[in-house]
Amino acid sequence: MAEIRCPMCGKPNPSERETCQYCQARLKSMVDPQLPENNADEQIGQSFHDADREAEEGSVPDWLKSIREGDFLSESEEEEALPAWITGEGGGGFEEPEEAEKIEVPDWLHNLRQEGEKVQTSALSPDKLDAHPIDDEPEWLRKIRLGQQGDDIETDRLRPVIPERAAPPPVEVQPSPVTEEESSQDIPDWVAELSGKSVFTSEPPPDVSEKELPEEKLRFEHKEEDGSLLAWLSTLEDEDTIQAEPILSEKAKEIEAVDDESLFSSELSGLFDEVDTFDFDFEEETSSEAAVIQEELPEDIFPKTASPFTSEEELEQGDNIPDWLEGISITGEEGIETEAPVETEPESEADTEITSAVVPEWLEAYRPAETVEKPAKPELIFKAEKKKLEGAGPLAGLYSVLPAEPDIAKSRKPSAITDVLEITEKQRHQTSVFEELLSGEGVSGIPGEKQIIAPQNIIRIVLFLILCITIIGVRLFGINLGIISTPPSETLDAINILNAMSHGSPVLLAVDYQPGYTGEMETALSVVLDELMVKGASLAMVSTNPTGPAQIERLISQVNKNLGHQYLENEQYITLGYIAGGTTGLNGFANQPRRFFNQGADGKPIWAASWLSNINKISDFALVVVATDDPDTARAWVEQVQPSLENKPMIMVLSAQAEPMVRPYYETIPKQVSGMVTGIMGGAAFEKIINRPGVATKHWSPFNAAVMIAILLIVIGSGYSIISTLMKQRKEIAQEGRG
Amino acid sequence: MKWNIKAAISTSIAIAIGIIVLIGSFIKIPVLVSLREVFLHWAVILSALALVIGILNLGYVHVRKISTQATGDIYSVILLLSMGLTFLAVGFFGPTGEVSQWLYNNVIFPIEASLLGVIAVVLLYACIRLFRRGITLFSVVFISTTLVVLLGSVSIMGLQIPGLSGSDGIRALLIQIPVVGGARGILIGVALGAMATGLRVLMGADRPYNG
Repeated sequence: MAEIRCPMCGKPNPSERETCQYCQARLKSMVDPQLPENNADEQIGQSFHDADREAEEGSVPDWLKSIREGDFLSESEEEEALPAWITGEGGGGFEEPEEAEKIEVPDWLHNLRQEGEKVQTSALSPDKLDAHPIDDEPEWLRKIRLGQQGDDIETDRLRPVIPERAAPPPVEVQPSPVTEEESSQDIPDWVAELSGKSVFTSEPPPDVSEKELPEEKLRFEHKEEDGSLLAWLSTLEDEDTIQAEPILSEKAKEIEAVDDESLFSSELSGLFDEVDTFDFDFEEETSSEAAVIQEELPEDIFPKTASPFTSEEELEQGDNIPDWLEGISITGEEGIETEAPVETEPESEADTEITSAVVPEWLEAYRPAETVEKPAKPELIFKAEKKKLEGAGPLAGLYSVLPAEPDIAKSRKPSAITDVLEITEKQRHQTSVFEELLSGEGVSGIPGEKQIIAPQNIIRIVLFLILCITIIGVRLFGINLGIISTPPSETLDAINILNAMSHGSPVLLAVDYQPGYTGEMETALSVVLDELMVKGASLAMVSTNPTGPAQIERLISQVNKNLGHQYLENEQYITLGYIAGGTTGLNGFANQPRRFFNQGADGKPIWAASWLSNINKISDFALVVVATDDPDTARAWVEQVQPSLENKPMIMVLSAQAEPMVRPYYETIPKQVSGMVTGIMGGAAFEKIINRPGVATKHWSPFNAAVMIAILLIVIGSGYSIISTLMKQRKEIAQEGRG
Repeated sequence: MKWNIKAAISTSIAIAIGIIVLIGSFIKIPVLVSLREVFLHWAVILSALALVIGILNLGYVHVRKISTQATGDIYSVILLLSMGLTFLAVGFFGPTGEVSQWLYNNVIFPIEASLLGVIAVVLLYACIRLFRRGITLFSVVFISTTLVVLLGSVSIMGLQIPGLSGSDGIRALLIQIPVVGGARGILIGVALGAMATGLRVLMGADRPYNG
């Protein structure tokens, strides 16, 4: 079974397959299906790979050559087929014009030249075309030609989109005078004739030397040299010229149907790209390999009637067009004569020194489409031009290849990485607020408006003023609000104990109150002290408070001053001093008073006094009077000293706040505290009982008035608070009900 | 187990002295009583020395505050100046001297009395505003008790409100029953607490001397 080797992957495929079963590459798209398999295989993708193969010929091992022999012509066969001037045996073709002259021009080439002249003439002067239309030219072809002049409506529509493509530049078709001169001088006559007539040859640039003539010319020289060129090839020109025009018309109609101009433009661009590519392939096929193969093949295998290029009548019938050719049409005003405008443009004298390079076909095929300068004239168009032809890479030559590079593999410039912190708008706002706070930290603020006194402060001030006015008014005006008619029982007990005390008895007096309570305590204590002085008691005074000695001196001085006594220190009274150590000191003082104090507060010996000579222990005192405002101090005296008194009475002069805590010691049986005088009220009651008004009586009326005012304020304020609170609660309830 | 000799010694001393003082308080054995008195005397001296140490520490804190220029160091300067002047005056003229009396009569007493006067106004205002914070059972009881005690303490033109004042009045009932009952409960609780603390120290469970 015959096989076709895939040009892409190199694997064998059955001959009836059109695409490779391995890589899906097309196998029979570009060749005559009637050609032998090896020839068809050779033609597929030949435009892309022939050059590579030739380049690899030198380095291909023998075994690979043997493999290739089945697909391609061997070197020996090619060398045999090639003329001597190509193989180099007889020198270059153009360098030896004598040999070229010897070659007879075959009929097919002669016809080809004539037809080329016709096409060129029609392209150069469209007016002449209109005046002298080609014989048997169909109407549609004539319209297209007219459209190329700018008169056709379809061409007018095309012009804004593809102005350069639709109208070929006149430079390409105008023969350069320099070229004619050079060709007339340097090029042999047969070449001159060929350059002027053949449609396959192109005008060499003025600066191009004969050695650097393009391969096309060499190939056609080779064709001219070979006398066995196929006659069918002569008809190719006609087919190319005639077949291309209806195809262009069809394309114009398709383009007209498209509304989107951009899409249309891109489509046309791809279309002409394919045309360029195909133009290149077609030249390759028709010029070199195809011609060589055709002439080398025997006619029984490759008959001339089986040429892929059919005659004009066959084309018009359309029945005999092979399948592979149905997708291909050839167009162009100048037939196959193609040449880039760059190559034909006349150059300046300075540029003439630079010879234009001849790019080989394989390199041309591999060049990116963007770098290839498109020829301004369309020559060959596929019917399947809507499909984009892959021009590079391993998939070169395939249609409808998914474009990877433009979209996916497109290299992108990496995004610039900035050193600016990307934050949200909310974070930016918070940052600005934080910066404002930090910036305002060290700035002294502008003094604001005068602060308004809060309502509660106003109320406090009002309360203070009311109390002060009440106290001062009662005191200034001497208002007597009366004294309690029934004195407390503890006060009566205290009076009874004092009354029972004998004259001149030693009494221990403890002054253990804070200086802040001096006003209340001195008022109550002065009454008791007055009674003691009246009784002529000898007073030994101590304190568990560091300020006690000073308070004792103040107390004695105040009583002497206010109550008319003349008690002298170290004679009627003595200040023992400060008892350190709290309860421990009290316990030690209660157990051994003499050891605890050796000298008085003034540094003099205390136990040397006559009335203290009999005092060895705490129970030797006839009475202990403790004046304190602190329940703890009172408790310490009761707990540490009272057990050592041996049934001697202890009287406490207390502040009103300490009375509730000391009262349990008074309420006991036997009483640990024999009697109490509590605050101003107790002192006033004491004075009333002894009928000797003193400081307590003076202070009682203001105190009583202040207490009554305080009661009144509490009642009024509490009532207002109750009413406002209830109203507020009702409002809230009402609002909740509405809500 | 590591044996801390230092802790054992200090704990043994504390327990022994506590037991001696406790036994000396209940049993009148001359040796124990003498030892008890000696230990108590030492305790009083140490307490006085602790007062001196407290004064020195107060001075050191404020001197450091001045040296570091801390906030409010001017008050530290005033405190140190006042303390130094008072120490010199009392030390030179004695605690009952004229200078000491002057300081007490013109500085200490007015300042502390003013503070108590401010407290009286604030307490009055608090009583007035108490119902603004809500009418509750305890607020009603508090205000009612306050009014009853105050009304029972005053007299209008020498006459007391019947049923409030006197030995059988509401005020007396309030003081003698709930107040005395509560105070006794507090005192009993304090006594039990002091006893428990003493027992813990005697047993070595509590070592406030860092033994």
